[in-house]
Amino acid sequence: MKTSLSLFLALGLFATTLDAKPASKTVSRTVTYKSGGEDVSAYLAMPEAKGKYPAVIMIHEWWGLNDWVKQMADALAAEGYVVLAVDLYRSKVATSPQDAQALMNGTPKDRVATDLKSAYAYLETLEEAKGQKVGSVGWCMGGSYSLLAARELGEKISASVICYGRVSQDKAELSSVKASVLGIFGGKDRGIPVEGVQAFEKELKAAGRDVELKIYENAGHAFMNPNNKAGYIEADAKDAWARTLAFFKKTLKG
Amino acid sequence: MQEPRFKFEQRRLANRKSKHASPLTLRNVEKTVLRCKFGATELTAMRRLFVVIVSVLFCASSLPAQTVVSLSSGGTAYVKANGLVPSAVVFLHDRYGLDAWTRSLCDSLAREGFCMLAVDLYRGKVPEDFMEAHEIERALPDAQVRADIDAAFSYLAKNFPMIKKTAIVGLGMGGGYALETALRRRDISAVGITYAPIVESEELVQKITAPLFGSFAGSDIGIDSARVVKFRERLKTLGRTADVKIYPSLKHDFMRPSRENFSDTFNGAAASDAWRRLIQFLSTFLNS
Repeated sequence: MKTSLSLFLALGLFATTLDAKPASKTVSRTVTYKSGGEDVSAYLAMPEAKGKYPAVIMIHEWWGLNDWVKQMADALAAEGYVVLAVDLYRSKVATSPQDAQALMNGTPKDRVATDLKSAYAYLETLEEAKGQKVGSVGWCMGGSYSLLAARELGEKISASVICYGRVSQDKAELSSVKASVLGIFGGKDRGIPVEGVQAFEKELKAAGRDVELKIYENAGHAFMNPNNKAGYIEADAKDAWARTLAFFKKTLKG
Repeated sequence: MQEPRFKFEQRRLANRKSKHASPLTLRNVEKTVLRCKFGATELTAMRRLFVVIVSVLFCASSLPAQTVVSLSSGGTAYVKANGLVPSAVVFLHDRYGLDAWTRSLCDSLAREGFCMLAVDLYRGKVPEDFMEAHEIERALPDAQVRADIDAAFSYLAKNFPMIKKTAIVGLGMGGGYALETALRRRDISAVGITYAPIVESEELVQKITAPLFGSFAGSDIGIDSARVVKFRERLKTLGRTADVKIYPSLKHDFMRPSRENFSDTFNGAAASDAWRRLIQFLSTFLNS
């Protein structure tokens, strides 16, 4: 019994040391900064331990900056990042798909682009993130805007994770993307055909970008969000998150 | 009685007036015109010829009148035109796709005398439920949308050379694309958006030079009324022509008839007011 317990503990310790940096305690707060003349707020999470960390701009789904997104920001911060989860909807959060759709539809695209640039500028004012690499990640609508962040901010964004968001096959649109890209998609997504994703990969590779694609064959849209009761697939969600962490580690900390 | 403002009203009035006269049928025309001049044999021959000519004319005029056409971008569009008219409207559907309701709106505008071209931004897909609409919409590639819209303008230029003015009109998602198009194309005589995202940066607002029509829902969670009011004021300050109306306490999609698994925010009174305003606006800026 004693031996098996110590073996278990040793294995546990071994497992922890496999991760270069064990998940750390985090702190978070709501911050306010200027974007296009307006005051906007965002959720900021980072490790409790003082230091310099790479930063990530996190972009919510069509629901808005809700608790799930904040949890994801905390989870990413625990891996050693300064995470700024932006609020494109100006504090509005939808709980019904109808409201979510209306919010997504109504948000001016030019304002989104301004918000993303302002988020980067804000990160640069933080001692913890100043001069460090910056990435972007988003789901659904936020996935589309994660790519937009890479397009709008060019070489300032080193890594961009797009979880089932709108992609592009347009050379001109993609020419400003300098980030490495990780794309996570569901094979049963009714809006994004696999061929469209592959064409996106081809265009980015032709432009010399590093691209990693993962298509989960049995997953539909929004499979990473546990609140999506009909479509959440736990195993795929966990795998996708592990890939996201590995990708950021390679691109932002490497 | 009030003067009829719209063509459909004028037609209704005309129909009412002509009820007591003998109906204008082929037979009546023959009776009154032909019978007095020709004998029975010539009449039969002429009647045959007449029928042939009428059918040929009918076929020729009905061919381009209502059909789905291919665009050079690889997309398709629904075209509806009643006769050779001098003004056109490029119509962009909402997030539910180019469905029967959207086509019926185009038919309505065609009856008002516009050559209608509704671009199928979803390229053949018509969502079967709210979530599918969402999945398709949030994945729609911007470059493909731009290419399809531009191809629609090329199609009009090539196939309807008599057209002098073209407007772009869109609902919801399509309204957002309509405004974007008006910002980047110089050949747009008017732009109409209905519960669609506006632009907010000063640089883009200044780029709106075409007369603008807008209908918004006062309780649209996604489109803040205060921002719409500000948008309207800025256009006014810039000296632009704009008819922007906010319908109080209505929600997004108030023009679309409610349907199971789709939207349920329809408001008939506002929908018909918004539609009449749109027809008035298009008539003013396309047919003047």
